[in-house]
Amino acid sequence: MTPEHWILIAVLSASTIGLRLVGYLAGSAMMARPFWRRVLDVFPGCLVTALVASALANGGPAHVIAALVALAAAIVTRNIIVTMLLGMGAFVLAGMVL
Amino acid sequence: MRRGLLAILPLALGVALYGFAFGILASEAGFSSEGIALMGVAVFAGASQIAAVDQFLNTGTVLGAALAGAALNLRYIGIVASVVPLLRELPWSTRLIALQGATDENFALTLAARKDDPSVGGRFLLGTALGLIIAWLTSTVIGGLAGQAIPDLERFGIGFAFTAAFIAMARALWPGKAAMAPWGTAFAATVGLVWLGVPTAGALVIGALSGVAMDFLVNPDDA
Repeated sequence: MTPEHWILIAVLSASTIGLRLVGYLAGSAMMARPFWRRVLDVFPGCLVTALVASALANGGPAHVIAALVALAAAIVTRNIIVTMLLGMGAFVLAGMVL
Repeated sequence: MRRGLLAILPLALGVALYGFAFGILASEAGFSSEGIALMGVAVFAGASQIAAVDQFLNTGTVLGAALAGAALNLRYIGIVASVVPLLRELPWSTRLIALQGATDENFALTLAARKDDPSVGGRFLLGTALGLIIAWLTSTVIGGLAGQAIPDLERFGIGFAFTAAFIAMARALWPGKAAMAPWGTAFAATVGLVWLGVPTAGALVIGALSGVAMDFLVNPDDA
């Protein structure tokens, strides 16, 4: 592991513990305010969508095909493991065919 | 506490499978078993660990990786806020463990159990937290060891595993039709920014914030 690996663990840990503490100390007050409640409700879904979008924008046609398969699997099964396995399988197959 | 531990078992098994996959991917990104174990305890937030390691693997920048992981954890403010009364029942030593162990999986389970049985409280939450911490730590470290033992994981499509995990998370987070416009905006904005050459970390945050802004525009009565 490089120093960057350790720094990433430290920074991610500090931010996550920090957010849990904010939730403990000020969460109720923040959730009582419609603006913050809305931001905290909506942001995670938008960020996950953005993560998928960036992977597809940086990837090729095999990524798009595998994403469609994974999306169908997620909608039907609602199971993260099945979605991951089917998405990865589709990615390998699409890579072979294309 | 034992009741909480037993109640979380089925969910903990699911978490373990997911943790195993994360361990493989983290070792792919160059994390040692010690590093994976330390991250598991010190961060203990699966989705953000995945997002951060994914960004680290693809962009190599600590800041972008940490930003993506931390941003995903904003939801913990709401999660922890909802269990504060239960946390207050615990002494400080175990209260901190339960606070660090509060995740999507166990806060919902605990609050649902409390609705049926008012005697469910802080100790139940602590039991669920301990169950998940044990499952997450063991599975991620075993996954990391497996990742080191099996070379050339690319041929199993590991490069797409994270994206598939995010798609499954999106499905779990989907709140209904009201999310169509904000999520669509976040998706389109992120793709556009990446294609314009904006670094991925910046594209992610700006893209997600555009989605939030769109939500304020199209769903005015939601607040």
